[in-house]
Amino acid sequence: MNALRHAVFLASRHLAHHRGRSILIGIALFLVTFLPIAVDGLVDAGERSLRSRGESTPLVAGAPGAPIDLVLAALYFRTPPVDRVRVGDLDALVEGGLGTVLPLVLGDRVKSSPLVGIDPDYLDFRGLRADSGRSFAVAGECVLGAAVAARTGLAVDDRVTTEPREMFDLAGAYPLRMRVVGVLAPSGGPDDDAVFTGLETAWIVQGLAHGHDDLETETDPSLVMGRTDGVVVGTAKVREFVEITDENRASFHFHGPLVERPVDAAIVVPGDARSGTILMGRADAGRLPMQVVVSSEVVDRLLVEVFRVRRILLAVLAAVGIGTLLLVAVVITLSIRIRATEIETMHLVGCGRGRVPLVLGTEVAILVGLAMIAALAAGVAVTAFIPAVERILLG
Amino acid sequence: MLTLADIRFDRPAPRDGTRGFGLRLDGLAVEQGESVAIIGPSGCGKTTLLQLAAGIIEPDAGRVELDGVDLATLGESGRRRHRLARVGIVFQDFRLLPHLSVEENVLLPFRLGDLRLDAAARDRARGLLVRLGIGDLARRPVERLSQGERQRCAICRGLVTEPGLVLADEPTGNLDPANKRLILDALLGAARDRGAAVLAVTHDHDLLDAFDRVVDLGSVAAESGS
Repeated sequence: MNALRHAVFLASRHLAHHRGRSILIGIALFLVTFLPIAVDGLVDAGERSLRSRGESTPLVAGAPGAPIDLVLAALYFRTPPVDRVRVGDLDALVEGGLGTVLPLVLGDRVKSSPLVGIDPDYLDFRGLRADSGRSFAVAGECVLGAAVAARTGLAVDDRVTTEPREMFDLAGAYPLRMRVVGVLAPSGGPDDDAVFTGLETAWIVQGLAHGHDDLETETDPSLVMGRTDGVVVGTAKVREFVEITDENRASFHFHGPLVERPVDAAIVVPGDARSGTILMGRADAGRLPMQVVVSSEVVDRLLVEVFRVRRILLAVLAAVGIGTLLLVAVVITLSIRIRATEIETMHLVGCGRGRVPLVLGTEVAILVGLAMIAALAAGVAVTAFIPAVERILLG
Repeated sequence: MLTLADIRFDRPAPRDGTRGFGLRLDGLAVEQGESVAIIGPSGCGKTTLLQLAAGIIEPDAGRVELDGVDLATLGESGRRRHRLARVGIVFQDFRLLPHLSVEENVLLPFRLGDLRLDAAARDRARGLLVRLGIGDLARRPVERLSQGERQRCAICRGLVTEPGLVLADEPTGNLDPANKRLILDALLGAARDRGAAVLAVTHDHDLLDAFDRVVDLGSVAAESGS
């Protein structure tokens, strides 16, 4: 025991004296250990998250295209599919009371988080409840996911402004200033990192509806360009509202019927298994310009690809790891040669037969041990960043 | 204390063309507390003599006794233990470990074997450092010491186990003239205080008067070259 204590002392002194070299070797060993742990941990956690989200979402409907893009958009609110479906098509899909449709309007962002236009039933479907405040009730209101509130420090009655889609698109829709009326309790899923608002508000943000000064009675020629068959054409000087208030709410209006409004994806909850089959049949038959997919099946297909990439990545990491370990072994061997005088001195003074190997072995053990501990700690810590990693991978 | 009798030690020349070396010594005895200087021309076996006395190497023939123990009767590990406990070694090039402080270097022998590193050992180390005038440098890294300070530190390491015999291989060889006398006096004085015998190889004939006895290995030993 004494021998080990002295070996630890001498080894730690040597490592501290050559701290630059020790740190470099430690980092190399850390990376060799940490990367496979991180990759494995992230893929496992990602798999659990994806599978759980997929299994809790029965069917997803959207425009024809890549099913994976559609499902990821519906589950994680990231990068909406290129094409959209109409509200009228979704109504036709569930005609006959076969199920419930929960439309999602995506594509805009607030405070770097996705702004998701939803039907209030979506919150019940996901089991989301307000931790403070209430759910949105009228246009211009929104509720924050728990992570958004924590990250931004926003609370009930604060105001948030949507981010413009195109910074230099002067003709595009104006950003909308919304009132925060609630903060959701943490759910441990992507809902925590989203800002939810009503479908109408989401459409307003996208420029499908707007509010402005009343031109019906306006006579100022700098505001009114002309009147034709009851249609008033305003000039660019007309003031558009960028916040919906009780005073101007009535002025907000859509140009076009509800059935024509676009939806990026929709979660479809069939009444029963038979209804589900019929719903999918309606889409497959080509009667409707949309696809309906079972989200868990799409997630399974995605995971097969993810696992394949993981196997390749782990093989590459193993090869890099072996190379790194060999380099570390060379460095340690060379450093022992450089220390020949030191080692000889210990022998001359009367060092016990096994002491020098014990000291050298302890140095290696300390480096490997510290690197392992750091790698395991970092591996555990990295799970805390899974939402961020999901955002990067699925965004 | 130390007795070498009828010593014969030969090492043939290696194939690289360098000289072989060897030592013939009929007898040499060093008494407790005595200081003996070993002088002689290069290659006469001075360093070999020290290694034989320390039990680092074994003679081809003859007997080496330390404290009445024939080193040939001890195995290699026995000789190591005996050396660690009973012999202090001071090297010409100090051989201090650069990653340890002055005090840690002095206490190094206690970390290399079965010697007990206790409060008494630490007190002894501090006492030696003070005795050799480097008490205030105990925590300083040895890399930041002057040559003279390094040799003082090495002497402290050689004496800290309270050995009966101190072997010094040209202990003043790397020092400037002003420091040589000071360091040698410090070594011999500290050894004398502890009743330790000193067997030192030196080329500095100006310092021989500090020793109790001088042995010219060139005249008493036979060199075997090739």
